[in-house]
Formats: sequence, C-alpha cells, structure tokens
Amino acid sequence: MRARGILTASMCTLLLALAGGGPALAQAPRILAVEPARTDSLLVCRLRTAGLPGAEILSTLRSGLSSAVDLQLEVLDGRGRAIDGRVLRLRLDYDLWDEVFSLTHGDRGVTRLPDDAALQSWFDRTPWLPVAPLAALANAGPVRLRAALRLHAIAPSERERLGEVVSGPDGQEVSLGLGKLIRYFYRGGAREGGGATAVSPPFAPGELAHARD
Amino acid sequence: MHGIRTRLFAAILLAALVPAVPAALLVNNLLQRSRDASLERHLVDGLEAGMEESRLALATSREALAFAAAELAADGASGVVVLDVDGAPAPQLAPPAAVLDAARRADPRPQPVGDWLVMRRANADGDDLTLVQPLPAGLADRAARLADALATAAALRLDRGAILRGYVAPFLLIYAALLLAALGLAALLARGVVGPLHATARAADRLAAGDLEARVGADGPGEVGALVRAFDGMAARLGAQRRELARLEKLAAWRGMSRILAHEIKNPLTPILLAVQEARGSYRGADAAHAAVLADCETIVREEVEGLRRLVALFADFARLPAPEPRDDDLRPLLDDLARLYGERLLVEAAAGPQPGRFDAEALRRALVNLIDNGLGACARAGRPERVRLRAAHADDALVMSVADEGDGIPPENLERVFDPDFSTRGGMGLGLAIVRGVIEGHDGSVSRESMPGRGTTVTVLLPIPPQEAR
Repeated sequence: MRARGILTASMCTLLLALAGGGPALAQAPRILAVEPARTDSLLVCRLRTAGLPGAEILSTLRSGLSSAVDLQLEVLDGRGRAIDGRVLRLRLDYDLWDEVFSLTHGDRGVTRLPDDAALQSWFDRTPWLPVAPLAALANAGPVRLRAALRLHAIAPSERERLGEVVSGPDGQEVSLGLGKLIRYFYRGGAREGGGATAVSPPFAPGELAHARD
Repeated sequence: MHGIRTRLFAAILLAALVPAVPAALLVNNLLQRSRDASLERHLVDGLEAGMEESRLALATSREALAFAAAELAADGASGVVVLDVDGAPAPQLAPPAAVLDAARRADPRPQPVGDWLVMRRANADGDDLTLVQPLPAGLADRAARLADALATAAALRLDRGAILRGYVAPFLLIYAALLLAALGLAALLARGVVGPLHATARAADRLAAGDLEARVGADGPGEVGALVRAFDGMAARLGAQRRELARLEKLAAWRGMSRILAHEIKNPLTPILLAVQEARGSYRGADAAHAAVLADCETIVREEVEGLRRLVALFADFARLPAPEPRDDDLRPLLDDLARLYGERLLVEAAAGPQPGRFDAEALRRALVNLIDNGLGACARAGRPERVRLRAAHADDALVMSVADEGDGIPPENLERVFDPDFSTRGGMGLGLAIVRGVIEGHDGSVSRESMPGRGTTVTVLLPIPPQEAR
C-alpha cells in the first residue's frame, strides 16, 4: 500500500511538472521560417517566429528596463560552412512615460510600437533584414541561410548602466578595484531569455525573388 | 612530524574557514534583508506616483495639442505649425531639426520628442498639418529621471540573483586570495616550527647511534629555538663527558700498567748490573781482548740499565702521581730555579718580584720541566738552537704560564692527542705530557696548545687563583 502511495505521488508530481512545463515550452522562442529574398544588391531575409518577445521580456520591458535580441544571420555553403553573414542587435525599450514600445535597430533607426500586440506582430513576421552583399555570393552555388537568435532579458547596454549603479562610484584606488570586480561578476551573471536557431532550404542567391512587403 | 605540520595547517585552515562560513551567510542574509525591506516598496510606490503625475501632465498636453490641431485643421491650416505652451501659434519658436524631422514622420496621436510634443494629421482639405508644441518646462526631464529610477528599482528586484553574485563573488574571491595567502603563511610558519624539530629528531637519532658530534645547528626564536639550543647543549655536554670518561679510563689503565711495569722492571735491574760487574771483576785471565769485551759489556749494560731506570722512574712518577696540594705560594723561586737548571736554554719572562699564585710547587715543577724538556727536544729535531721561552703573568684571577719553542711543531691531527698517555711521535711512551695534564687538572687548571708544524709550539697553562674567601 505504501509503495502504491509513493508511486501515485510520484506520478502526480511528474504530471504537475509536465503541466507546469507545458506553457513554458509553448512560450519558448522559435524561428518558424527563414525566408531569403534579394534586393538589387543585398541578400536579405525575413524571419517568421513564435514566442517572441515572450512573457519574461515583456515583463522586463514594462518595468522600464531594456531588453535585447541578438540575431546572427549566416550564409552556409553546400558543406555547411559559414561564408558570409551578419550579426544584428535589436534593442527593445518601453517608455514608462509615453507607454509605448520602441525597437532600436542600428540600420533602421527606432520603430515605435504602441502595444504588446504590435511588438509581437513585429517579431511574428520581421521586416526584411540585410544579410550579405549579393556580389560576394555570385559564385557560391546553392546556399542556405541559418538564423540564430539569442534573447537578453536585460540588454547588455542596460546591464552596463546598472553595473555602475550596483558597484557604486569609484573613488579611492581600493574601491576602484572592488567596483570593477562587482561590475565584472554582476555582468557575468546576465539573465538570458533563451534562444532559437533555424536554417532555410537551399537556394541560389541569384535566382531569389525580390523582397516585397 | 608530518602530524604536527598537518595539525598546524589544519588548525590555521579551520581558524580561517570557520568564521568565514557564518560571515558569508550573514552577508548574504543582510543583502537579502536589504532587498526585502519595505523601504524599497515605498520608494517604488513614490516613483510610480510621480510617473503617474507625469503621464497625466502628458495626457493633458496631448489633449490640448489634439484640440488645437483639430481647430487648425478645420481652419485649413497646413504645413508645420509651431505652437506655444498655451496652444497659440508661435512662429518665433525654433524647434530642433531632429524634432521637426520626427514631427514630419509622426502620426495623429501626439507623441513626445525631447521637450516637445509633435503630431501630424490631415486638415480639412486633406493636406498635411504638422504640429509642434513645447511641453511644460522640465516635464520631460522629470519623466526621464523617474523612468530611470523606476528601471533601476526594477533591476534591483528582477536581477537580484546577478546583483547578489556581483557582491558575493568578489567577497569570495578576495576571501579566497586572503585564505591562500594565509595558508602560504601557515605553510611557512609550519615549516619554521617543524623544520628544527625534524633536524632535532635526526640529530637525536645520530646521537643514539653513537655520533657524539651530532648537533642540530639551526637556531631560532621561541620555544622551538630553546629546544634546539637545549638539545645541542645536551649533546655537547654528553660528548665532553663521554670523552672525559674515556680519558680517565685510559689514564687509570695506564697508571695500573705503569705501576706493574715499574715494579717488575725495577727489581731485576740492580741484580743484572751487579751480575755483569761481578762477571767483569771476576775475570783474572790475561786475555786482554776478553777483558775488553767484558768491559764493553759492562758499559753497555750499565747504560741500558740507567735508561731503564729512567723509564721506570717515569712510569713510577706517572703511576704514583700524587694529587697536587695547592697552596698560596710565590712562583718566583720556581722560575729562578728553572732558570738556573736550564741555563741559557731557557729564557724566563716574568715581571720582576714575587709572582703570587696558588699551586703545589713540586708538582708544578714536574709539569714545567716536562714541558721545557719537550720544547728543547722539538728544537733539536728541527735542527734549531735548543731554546725555550717560559712566560709567566697574571690574568683574570689566574696565573698563566706558557712554554714556547721554535721546534718542529705538532701536526694538527695530533694536537688533540699529545696529552694522552699512549701517544708519542718520538717513539717514547708519551707519558711526559700526560703527567703535565694530570698535574694541571689537579690544580683545577687547564692546559692548551697551539702549534704550527715546522714553526714551533706554545703550551699554555692556566692555574686559577680563587678569591681569598673561597680558599
């Protein structure tokens, strides 16, 4: 009887754990598709994603902190080697005063997004993102595009700013060293919000259709 | 010995670690409490209230701008219109280019850009109407500062783990460095303590195995240093006692043998001499050659018997060597007597007048004679004039005498043994200096020697003069 009780309890615990993990799995960021296209001179791509920006990042943003998403876009040759690519960092902010989201993208400036839905929509189907000059891929043959994204619940730049706050002002020589130590270990403990990777089917860069919104 | 080192090491390690664990827990707890304190909630509430006020002010400004925009649009205004805070056109105001640029891309919902509020809408004719209006002074700045403070407060709440790590990890790192330094120091200290103990144990083993010269040699402060010094002192005393014991045993053996030899040899000497004299005297023949042989035999036997008698006398002296009886006396008569005895061969150097001391004159005379004879013999062996210098002087409650020669000297390896009764490099019995040593030590004095082979030898005798009240 006792063994049966233990077994039942274990099963219940397992089920509860699975039930608790279910939403987490559902919310995990995913790249559903990597869609390559071209402009006159560039290989570009658009990502279809799910689970972005995610509850954790939304919560962080609404508290006034900045988050970030690193996108690594790589062109893979037939043997899977990266022959070109680009790393993009998207910074996400929420203006506590104006109560709007903003997405800062180095090349495209700032995009204001009025609410959660707009932000999620941006990630569900991103704009066309530059990957590599087409000229560099002229003789590459069939290639694939690998997209990897990494979420920073607290953006590295925000962490830099907070590091200054946490370590306090540097004064004397001893506290200077201590402040650096505190900043070093604080930044080392960055909260990550997960990541995802996806690869497109093979394609010939020269035969791609032009990017259209 | 490894046990002591390990225990020392472990003791220091424990002393360093035991307070660290509760200290680390305490630091962690205090940090947690500092975060959990309701003070933070109060501050955040205050900030939120301030931010809400700013939002209301922004909303008011928005409504005012939207209202003004609606009126201007109805009037058909178009292009960029700059308003003042009250909503009246203010062409004299010059918004920054970035604000104007943002205004041209704005939408109908007024949005703050820096210290300005911008919007863009269509007028009644469908043309673009862009409006730019300054926000109330300081509103945007206050809102930015409130947002910054709220974000920081949120970080302290949301990023608690990383912040704790930022504080605790340096503590642990610095503590580990200090601990390593302490352990290094502990290792040095342990070696300082255990090293001399190791050396002492090794020296004790050598001493137990019969090596009387075994010493630790290392010195140091504290109890361990005292232990090492005590051990070395003990070993030195033990060695000296062992050597003295051996010397006394040898002396006793030689005295016993000397007594037997003196007795056994002395007794037949006179009958031998008499027998030879009788043999020579009883010859009545006319054979001159035979008479000459007998005469030679008698001479040879007499000389050899005399030699044996001297040897027997030496043995007898050594065997009977009476214990000296020191008394207050003057050395001067003895010096004069020796000067007369040896004539030019002895140069006496002493202050004029009485030379008071405490000694047995007869025994001291015997010792000095032996030393002078040895010195003269050394000069002869070196082929130099037989001349010995005898100095006498007073120093530090002692009468000091030295006998110096310029003879063949004593090799360093023999210097320690010349006073032993069985040691002689000249084929003799080696009793002369043994008698000297017996006499001097009978006075509670000491005898020492310095020698350079080929250059000469100086033997120094020191006879203590005890204070008057101690006699």
